[in-house]
Amino acid sequence: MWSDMDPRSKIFATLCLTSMALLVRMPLAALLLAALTAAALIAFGIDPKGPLKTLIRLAPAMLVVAVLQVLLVRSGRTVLSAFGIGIVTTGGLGAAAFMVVRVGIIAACGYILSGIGFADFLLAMKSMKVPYEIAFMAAMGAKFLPLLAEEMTDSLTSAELRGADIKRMGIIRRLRLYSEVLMPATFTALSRAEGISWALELRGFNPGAGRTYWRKLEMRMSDWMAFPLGIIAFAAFLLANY
Amino acid sequence: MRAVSFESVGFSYPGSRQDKSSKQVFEGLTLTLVPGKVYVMSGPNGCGKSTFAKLMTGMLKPDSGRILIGENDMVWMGLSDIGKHVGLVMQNPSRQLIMQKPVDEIAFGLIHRGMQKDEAANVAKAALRDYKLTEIADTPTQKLSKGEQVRLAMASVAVLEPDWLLLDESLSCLDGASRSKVLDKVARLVRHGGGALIISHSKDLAYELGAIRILIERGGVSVVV
Repeated sequence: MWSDMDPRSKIFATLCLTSMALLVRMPLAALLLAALTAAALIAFGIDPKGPLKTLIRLAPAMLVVAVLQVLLVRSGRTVLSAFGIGIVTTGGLGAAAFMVVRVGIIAACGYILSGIGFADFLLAMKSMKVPYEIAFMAAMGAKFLPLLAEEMTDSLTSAELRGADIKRMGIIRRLRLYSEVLMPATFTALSRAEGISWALELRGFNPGAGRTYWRKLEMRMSDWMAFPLGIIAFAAFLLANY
Repeated sequence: MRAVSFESVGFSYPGSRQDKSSKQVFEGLTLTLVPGKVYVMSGPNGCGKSTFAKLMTGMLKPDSGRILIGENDMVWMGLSDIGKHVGLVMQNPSRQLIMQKPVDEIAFGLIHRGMQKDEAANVAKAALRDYKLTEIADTPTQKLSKGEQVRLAMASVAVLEPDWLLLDESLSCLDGASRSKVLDKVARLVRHGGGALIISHSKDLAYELGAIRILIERGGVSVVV
């Protein structure tokens, strides 16, 4: 429906959604927020299967955090107890459920932002008076995240092919392996960043110099609508939660 | 030493967010790689050579058909089990070098396969000598030259004595001397009954090695003996 919306509207929408996700307190508001995020995904022309797959990939980590929250948060009514000791409380269950909703909304917002093209993102940032260097850094970082993930996957695969059975490995050994794998990925990312900065400078890139842009971003009626809608949703959210 | 068989393998990459249509790479691919031989796989960019390597190492699963190592269907094997039979040197070897020191890199797989640390360190030092890497024993792995990284990656895989060695375009960035050293090691593995699959753009490599040439083109695979 709004898949060709101005990037500024998309950035604003994701800003509203992630802020609400972090501030949400009421269970009903969290559910409504999840529904609103799903509606935003559909409106921006994003197939919800994508964020859903990301969530499924994150499920094991989320499960561990959720279990920890269920066991450690002691507020509310006791739901399950053993030998007179309260194990699961409503507060713990609520904290775990909120965490899952928050991660889901943030993943969905990541998908909305990743649909914005590199040049459009820079133009949007510039029009919002964000310093070019910072906007460029953010855009480059986002551009190379999938590559970084691919490199880490390659390193982990190489470790597994050489006998590191990650699935059966203890948590300490697994964390040690991840930290070892992070090292070459970080080194490669840094050397790539260095290579790109040289290549850009050799082609005359100078963020300090004044420049003109061939492409211009234009806000349409549907783009402008996103702002009052976002503000109304945010205000209603604050009233409902606080 | 076990053969690797592709039986009516079909594989396609799912469509991207921009282009929803999936990209078919293989359909009904049937091919058996017999140990004791060197295979050189070539073909144009994007024809599926690296996809073949990823299928052979279990990094990708086929959509249809099956891939066997000996009699075992790869779909039921974990990567660490597959790694006992297939050793991979990636196109960009820096991605597979995990440890800071070359000696630790070679020992990594040995330790994970159950060897004691001291013994693994001794084997690793011997491999460094064997692969002419003793001079760079104290250089961080990520600072090695491309040729040294390829040799180190190969040494770290070869010490595990897999049935197959798979070089995914690893020779393209090597100078003549490094290339000869790597090919010597491939020849030695084959003499010991193992097999090697070298993915390369070079059309002459198969003739140079007297290897079996596998030609992949979009839509088909042919084997030239």
